[in-house]
Amino acid sequence: MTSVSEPVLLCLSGIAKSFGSARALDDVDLTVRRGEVLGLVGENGAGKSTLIKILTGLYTADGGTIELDGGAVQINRPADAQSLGIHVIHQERHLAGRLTVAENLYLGHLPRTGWLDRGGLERRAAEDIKRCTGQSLDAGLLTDELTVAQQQLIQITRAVLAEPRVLILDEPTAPLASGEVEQLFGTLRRLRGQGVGIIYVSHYLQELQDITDRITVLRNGRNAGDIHLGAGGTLQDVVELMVGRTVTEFDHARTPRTPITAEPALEIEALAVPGALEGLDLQIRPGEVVAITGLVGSGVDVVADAITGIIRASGSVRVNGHAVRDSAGFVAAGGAYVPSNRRRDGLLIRHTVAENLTAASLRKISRFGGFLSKARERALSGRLIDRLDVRPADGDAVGGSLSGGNQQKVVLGKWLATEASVFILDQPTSGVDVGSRAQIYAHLNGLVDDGAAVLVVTVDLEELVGIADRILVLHRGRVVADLSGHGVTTDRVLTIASGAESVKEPA
Amino acid sequence: MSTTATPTAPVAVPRNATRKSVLAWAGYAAVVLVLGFFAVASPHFATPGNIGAVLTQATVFAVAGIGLSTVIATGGDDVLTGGIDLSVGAVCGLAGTIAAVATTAGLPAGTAILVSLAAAAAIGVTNGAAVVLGLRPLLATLATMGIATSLELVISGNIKTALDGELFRWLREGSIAGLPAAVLVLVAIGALAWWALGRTPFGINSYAVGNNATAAAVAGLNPNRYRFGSYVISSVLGGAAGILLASRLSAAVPGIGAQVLLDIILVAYMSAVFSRRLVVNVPGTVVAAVFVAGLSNGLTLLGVTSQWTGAAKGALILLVLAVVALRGRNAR
Repeated sequence: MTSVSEPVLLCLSGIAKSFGSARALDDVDLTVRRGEVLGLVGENGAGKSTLIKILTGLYTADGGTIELDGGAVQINRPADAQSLGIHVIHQERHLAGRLTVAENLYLGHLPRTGWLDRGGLERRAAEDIKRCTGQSLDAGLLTDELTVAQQQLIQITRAVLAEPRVLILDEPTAPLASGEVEQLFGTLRRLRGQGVGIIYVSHYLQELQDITDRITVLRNGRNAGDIHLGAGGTLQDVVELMVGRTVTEFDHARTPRTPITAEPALEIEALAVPGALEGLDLQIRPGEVVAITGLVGSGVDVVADAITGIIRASGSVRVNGHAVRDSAGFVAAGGAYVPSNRRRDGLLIRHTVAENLTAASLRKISRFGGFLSKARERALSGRLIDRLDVRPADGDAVGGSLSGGNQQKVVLGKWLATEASVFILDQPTSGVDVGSRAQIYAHLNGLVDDGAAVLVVTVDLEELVGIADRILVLHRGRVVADLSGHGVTTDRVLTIASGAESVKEPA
Repeated sequence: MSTTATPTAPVAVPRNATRKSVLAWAGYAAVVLVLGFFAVASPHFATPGNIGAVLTQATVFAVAGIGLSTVIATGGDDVLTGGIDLSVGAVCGLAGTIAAVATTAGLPAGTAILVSLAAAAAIGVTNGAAVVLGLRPLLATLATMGIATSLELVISGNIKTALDGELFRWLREGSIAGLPAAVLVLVAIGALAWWALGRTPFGINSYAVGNNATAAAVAGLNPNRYRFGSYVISSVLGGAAGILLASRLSAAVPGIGAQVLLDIILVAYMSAVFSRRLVVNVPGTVVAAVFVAGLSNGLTLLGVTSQWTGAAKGALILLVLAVVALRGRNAR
């Protein structure tokens, strides 16, 4: 632990940044002392990544000052940050997979000797990795052949070799197993001992307790407070600062639903995606809404694609009793999928609203065994436009020109036309305005009342607590909690998802 | 391999790493096997004269193929969005025609070669600029292929132009220590390219750009500089191949570019089979060029009619792509 007597290494004060009319950061302060590990946390959209991008020169701040070792500095480009000794280990592993470990390690600084001595380079790389991380790695291997954790070693070594004064780690442990996390912490402690200031961004609160001296919490682009875990602060305090005490837009007085029949409409057994999801078991009955949540990297980002057969997964999925092997089978069995990337996967953005709405039920609007009837298309799409309140109420409008919320209504409406009975919605309201959100929820509730089984995958905790009958929480690819959706709070879900509280495996 | 550091933690060596390097050698073994079969089946195949002819023929594909390999390495090997230079065949034809027309007009051989390589480089600069501006390489180079083909017809008047002169005759018939001149040119260009792509920061940086441009940019490299350069290199080498081809045929033949394009693409992509990393590479391109030339030659010697060689090569391309696809899947 560092004492407060250590000199301040990096001091950001009054940092402001706007994108158009949206304020991403508003008067944010942050200090790191020499030899200190500072935790930086906040919900998605709280401003963490914007702050880091300002610090690393990818964005320029609109206002505020940055001081390094007491002197004011300007950081306008990534090169500025690097020459000041500010280095970052990105969450995305930026490595060329078909280059060797040694080549990736020294990329951009390869020796200009005229004749590259591969063997010598690899020996030097292995020694550098050993020295910087304490681990052994054959530097002649291709980066593609490594595990994610081994790839991380390359990034850490690259950063350490640059002899940073400030090292920023953005979600460094998301891909790591616990033993590997310990080794990373060993490296960080060694750097801390050398006086490096470390900013550690993570959703995993338990880890913050292990490695950080102090935690700065951001909420909605502002400082929510600092917590000294060593001096009486608790992780619960951190969660409260992150979530805030805001009133939710949902009706918490809703009555628990009783599933209509006992036969499950969606049965998932041992669904697994290598490296992302381990053995998901789930049954949803008609008239039930189940939500799956978790932090980014917990498997929450692949679970919907895995169930619907978009990506390859092991295990079994049954929809209305039919085994599903691919996405076509999923739809044929009565499934409907609203994917998370609406513009890429959900909507035909260059097609009209009417064409989008009827895309999954072309047989219904065709005549003479395959000729589409424009009249039937208009009739069917017109009914859906009214029912969903799509604005503008124009079937000939081009899909891509609609607002996010209306696009999502169209994607959902496409499935209403098919009379599907099992709905899987992945982040259904991301980028959707409040008004459309409420309408989408109302439609979901209507579907469920009519006997549909609904699975919502979401990272929006308010949404989760607002609509789900049951909540499954993923942590590092496994379901760590199976909660009733009634009477649960966002704090509790976040606490479980971040690993700050371990919950017994569901029976 | 670097095993000097004593391991403290068990390092998981992927179990398919060894198997993959075995597969890379299997590529070479298959080539030796096929060429060996021809040698046994036909008494004329393994004669010094025929081997010289095969190697001379391979030179054109190899030199242009090395250029294309540079583009694929630097642009990425995704056929639709990665690096590709469809104009390389047309540039081959254009450079040969310019060299022939210029010498016929009385320019000295050296000057004629410089002029034709400069014209090739101009096409390369156009390709590079288009790609750096964000045009799809597949379509941009398809467009310049049309331009280069058209220029070739305009300059030659769509008739065969004889290419004669001491230097060109030497390229066709000359030899040093029993090695045909064209083969010596191949060895020189191949060695230079192998060094540049395989043993210099430039080469590793190029592969990095093609493999993961973001990673290269994060490491401080400028991906567009490498991409631009690769198209210029491809066109200049395509031009050199065109001069070699015209020397071999003693004439610039209009429309020859379209005939050689497929073989050039084949040898460049096929080179990946001979690589542990599954990437296009210079030695692999040379081996593939010898293989393709040997295949045409061997099939002819065995009495297979020339109508069937196209089918044989097509089947070969499918086989190569299948091997690469399967090995790529294993690597995931």
